[in-house]
Amino acid sequence: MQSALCPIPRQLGAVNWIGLWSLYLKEVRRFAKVATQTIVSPLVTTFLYLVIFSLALGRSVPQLGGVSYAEFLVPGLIMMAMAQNAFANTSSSLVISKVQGNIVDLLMPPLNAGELTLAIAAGGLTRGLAVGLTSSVVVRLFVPFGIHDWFYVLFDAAAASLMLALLGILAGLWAEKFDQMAAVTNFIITPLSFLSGAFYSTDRLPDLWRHIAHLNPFFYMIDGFRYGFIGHADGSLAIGTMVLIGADLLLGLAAWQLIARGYKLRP
Amino acid sequence: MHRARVAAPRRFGRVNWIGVATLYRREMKRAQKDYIDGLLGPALTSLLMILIFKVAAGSQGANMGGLPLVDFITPGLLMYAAGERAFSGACGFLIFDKLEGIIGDVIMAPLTPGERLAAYAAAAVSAGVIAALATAAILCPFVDLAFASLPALIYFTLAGTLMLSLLGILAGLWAQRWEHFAALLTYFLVPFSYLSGMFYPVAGLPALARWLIALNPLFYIIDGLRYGLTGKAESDLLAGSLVILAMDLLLAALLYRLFRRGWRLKA
Repeated sequence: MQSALCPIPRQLGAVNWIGLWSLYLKEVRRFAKVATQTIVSPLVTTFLYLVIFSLALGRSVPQLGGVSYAEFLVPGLIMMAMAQNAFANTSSSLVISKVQGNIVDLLMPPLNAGELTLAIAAGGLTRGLAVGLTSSVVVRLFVPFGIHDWFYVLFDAAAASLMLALLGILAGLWAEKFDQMAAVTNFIITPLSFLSGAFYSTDRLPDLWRHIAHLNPFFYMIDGFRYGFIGHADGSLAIGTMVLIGADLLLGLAAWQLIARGYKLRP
Repeated sequence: MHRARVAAPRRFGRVNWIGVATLYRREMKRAQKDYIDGLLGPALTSLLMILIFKVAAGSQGANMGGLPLVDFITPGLLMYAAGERAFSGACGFLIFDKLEGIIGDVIMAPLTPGERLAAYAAAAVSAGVIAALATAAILCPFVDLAFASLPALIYFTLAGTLMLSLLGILAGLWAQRWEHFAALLTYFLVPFSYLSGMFYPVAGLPALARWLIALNPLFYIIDGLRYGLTGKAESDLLAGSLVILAMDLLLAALLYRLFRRGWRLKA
């Protein structure tokens, strides 16, 4: 008697490594394919800000944190570019998938919520780091800068990109239309990053505003990152490191839980 | 014996006013669909720019070309709000219509090339002026807007926004994919706007940079607008207004020919 030829279900271990890796690669290839928009374009923006601010303020602001204004500006601008692109990568990936209906390609494969969160967030993290690396290399040709402390450069780059990638996942889950995504970018991400102390030292602010500025998690990522370059921080590095780790854990947990529940993903 | 009922062709005067008004209204209505994001977002970003400049410059960097810093950059921000809205609206709607295949609605309608161009341009100028007004309304609690010369203000706003609108229509005719749209904004509109003397007086720049900026028509628009608002200008206003007028006429003539040929519109 002939047995029915039944496909044997694939055996996965505790973690579906192949699936995780495939989704990660998909997320990376998604932005690498349009590198002029995802890598070169932030570079142009960073460069424009650098030109504008050093031309407008270079003479009237001679020294900040013990370095020239341009040198003070560079780490903040690079961090802003990394943050915005990490956010854009994960949020646009989810919103486009939802609008176009190919979100099922994420929901059907044997990937659990943790694996989905990890792979998508890692894609955003990679985009952030790629933007940061490219921008640093090109900007260095024009504004020579040294590295004071590699740990803070690398840690803040990674922790901040991850934080924004996770925020992007939350925003991408919540938004159902491109307009809503634009609103999150316009009214939350841009103000938080502009007011993070990228362009000025928060020491210049009046007391009350300085305290408020120090409640902005974006302040710590820029402050720590800048410390890695120029060796001067406006706030406390220990607090900054803890804020970033805490935010990453909290946001990671939230993204994982929401994906596990299928929030705005499943009907 | 009865005559076949043939619909008599509609009669128009020299200008199909109803058609022009209808196309204008359609373009305005689609611009109105995203007023919250489309107007409030850029206005908020302009406000953030002003706050950043104010804090970054501190008390000592208050003077730019004989003006307080904020008064110096406000005209550029208003012009940018108008120009960005006019350009991206005109360009984006044309690309959308071409990609969706509904451009035929405009080509089939009994409109001459000149009428089509006039309606598109008028709608883009209106949308741009509305954006500038919204930005001015949000900025006015923070900036002292003295209307030094109303004729200059009106002329440079309208002629400048018209130039950006015509450029937007040209870009929209040329572009065939959304990637082109993104590239036009990042690599053309934003650099040209930011490197136009919007944020810093050209007097202090190196000779080469001054020469390059003198070739940028946006410089004359922003400078003229600055004269209209503050009474101070860096360039010869008559020469500036002629440059903009010449650009407007040249672009309009070019677009008229392109519309008549159906360049990238008709198969």
